Amino acid sequence: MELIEIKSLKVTFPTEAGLVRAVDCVDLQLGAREKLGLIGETGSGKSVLAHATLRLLQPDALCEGEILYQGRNLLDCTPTELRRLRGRELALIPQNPSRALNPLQTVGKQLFETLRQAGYSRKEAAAKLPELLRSVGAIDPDSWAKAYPHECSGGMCERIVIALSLAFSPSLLLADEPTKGLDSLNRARIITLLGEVTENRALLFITHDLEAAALLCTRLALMYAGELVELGDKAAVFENPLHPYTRGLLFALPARGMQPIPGRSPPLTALPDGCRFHSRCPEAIARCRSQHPPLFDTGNGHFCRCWLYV
Amino acid sequence: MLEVKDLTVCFWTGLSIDKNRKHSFWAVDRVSFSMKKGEALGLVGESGSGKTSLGLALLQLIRPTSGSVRFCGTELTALDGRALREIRPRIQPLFQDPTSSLNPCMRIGASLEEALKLKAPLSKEEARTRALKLMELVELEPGLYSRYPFQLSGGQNQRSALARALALEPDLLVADEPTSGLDVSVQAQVLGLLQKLRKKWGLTLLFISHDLEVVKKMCDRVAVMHAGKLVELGKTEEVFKNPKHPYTKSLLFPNLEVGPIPSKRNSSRAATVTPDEKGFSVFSVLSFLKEKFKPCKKRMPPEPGWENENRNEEMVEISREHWVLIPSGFSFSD
Ligand SMILES: Nc1ncnc2c1ncn2[C@@H]1O[C@H](COP(=O)(O)OP(=O)(O)OP(=O)(O)O)[C@@H](O)[C@H]1O
Ligand code: SF4
Ligand SMILES: [Mg+2]
Repeated sequence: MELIEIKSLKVTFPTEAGLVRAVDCVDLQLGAREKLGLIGETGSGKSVLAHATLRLLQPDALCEGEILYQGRNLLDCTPTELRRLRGRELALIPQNPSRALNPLQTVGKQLFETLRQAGYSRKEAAAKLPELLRSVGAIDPDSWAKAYPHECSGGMCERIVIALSLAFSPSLLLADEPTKGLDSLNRARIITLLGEVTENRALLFITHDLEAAALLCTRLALMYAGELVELGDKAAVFENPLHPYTRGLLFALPARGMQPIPGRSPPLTALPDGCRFHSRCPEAIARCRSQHPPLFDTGNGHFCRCWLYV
Repeated sequence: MLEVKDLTVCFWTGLSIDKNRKHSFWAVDRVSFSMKKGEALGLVGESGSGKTSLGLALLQLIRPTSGSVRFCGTELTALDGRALREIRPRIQPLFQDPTSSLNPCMRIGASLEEALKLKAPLSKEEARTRALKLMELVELEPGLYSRYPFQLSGGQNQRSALARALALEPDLLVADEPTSGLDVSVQAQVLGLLQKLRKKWGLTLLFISHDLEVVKKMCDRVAVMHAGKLVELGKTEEVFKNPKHPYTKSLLFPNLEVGPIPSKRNSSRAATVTPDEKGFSVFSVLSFLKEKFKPCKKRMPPEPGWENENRNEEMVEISREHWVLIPSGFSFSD
């Protein structure tokens, strides 16, 4: 059975400029040990999707659809149930790790308290703490535990946040751009670490770092303007990208010419009719302007939202 | 245009995680370099090597402990309060965390207008049209004008921060990881924009980044920083092709490839990252790391080696405009 199943999820925010349709009819499944990379344009709704899964959006956000976790709809859960699920079963590694830490407490204290909440006794928590820090690559856990967040480098903060998210041993880890802003060495370390700690877990890996996604994930999902546009095995997506957006994205890599996709994505308050990519698409045909393409199955579990694959 | 000499920044810390340097910490250690107008200098090095501190010290956002920063003939370290405020619009920062340079209680449009009004008094309408033009320039859609920073995605915030920095029409932009958190297409757009501004305005750019591929594309010269010191400085091409310092060599380990170039006639180049039995090839990263350290261990003198602070080291120009930090008695004889 799938661990988590997102069914036609819609998230909208009311703003002065109108309704922002941040996530629109996203369907996604994740198996118990599956690693899915979520890639896409900035502002395409990746973080909103992750936050919706944990029900961490601000109260005025409207969520429709279903998010089934082991058969239970998270959108119907009460706050108490949610509190029990968050961290314990589903954990988020947020986009900005240094903000996720309390600047006034040492790393050790924050970890200790999280462990206590996870149900460890004082003694157990104290014993588990260095072990947990070591598991995220601290050679000298004591000095790490004594440090305050501002004394930690970006790579250290990231690893501490990963340690925090592992305190409860969740079955699904949502990582929001964990390799952002790290140098090549730390980046490789975090990728390795995430690979290790998710060996027996599911991972939803949100990233702009295509290399990292290629290394960590088995499947990739691409988002554009709030919807999924391509979904398939990593190798299939990289070797044979179907959607014109995916192709454009790959050519924007510095190593491949750094050619930006011309134009910009449509405002989420006033989405165009037809394909949402049509104004930037080099392969657009007449029907793209008026008809909104559904997600086509092109075989082998490779899906693409584009009229070229009817 | 910019001349930095023996710039040193020292932080005093009561307790430190690094046991060896208990009470003081040299974030930037006797760094010297200069920049011409319109030039793009890349600053690379691992995190914690002092790149950000160097940037902040240039901007006088932290006061350097010693050394001099001359900007268009003005000694910045000697300026105080008002004089500094006057020169500040000409040197603008662009930070790694964009939300730190945007007022969270102000709409994006208002933030931009405020910056524009600093430059010259403007009427309400004028400010609005200019702000919208700036948003156009950084490819932000006009609908975001009345949003607050928390209502924007990471990448939209980054571009708002860039628009705000550009509002003051600076001569020098100190960009600290300006494209982290952007997707590769928007990254290409923003970088293209910066290149265009360099050509059009003669914008000078100090470009701090971890992404060597980007630095290779963007910068004329590159400076490599390690533990607070510049260890190598030279033309980008030269340094990338012919790195001399062991640290530079270790930094330039080959980036991983993301499979073949997508094209109709593919299959000639097989994927470099095909999934192995385990489902992912993290192990290849590990072996990369091992490889990464092999060459420098061989070339480095035995511990404590070139990292030792007390060692006498100096920047030597080994070939035209290619400077390397060389410990005394060390030669590149291979
Ligand atoms: N509270 C909010 N109110 C209104 N709009 C919002 C709010 N939060 C997010 N949005 C909008 O929803 C869209 C999706 O945002 P999201 O943060 O999910 O993007 P993202 O895909 O994570 O992008 P990035 O890669 O840049 O982090 C954006 O266009 C953003 O402007
Ligand atoms: S549906 Fe049409 S416009 Fe949209 S991506 Fe496909 S070809 Fe391009
Ligand atoms: Mg995000």
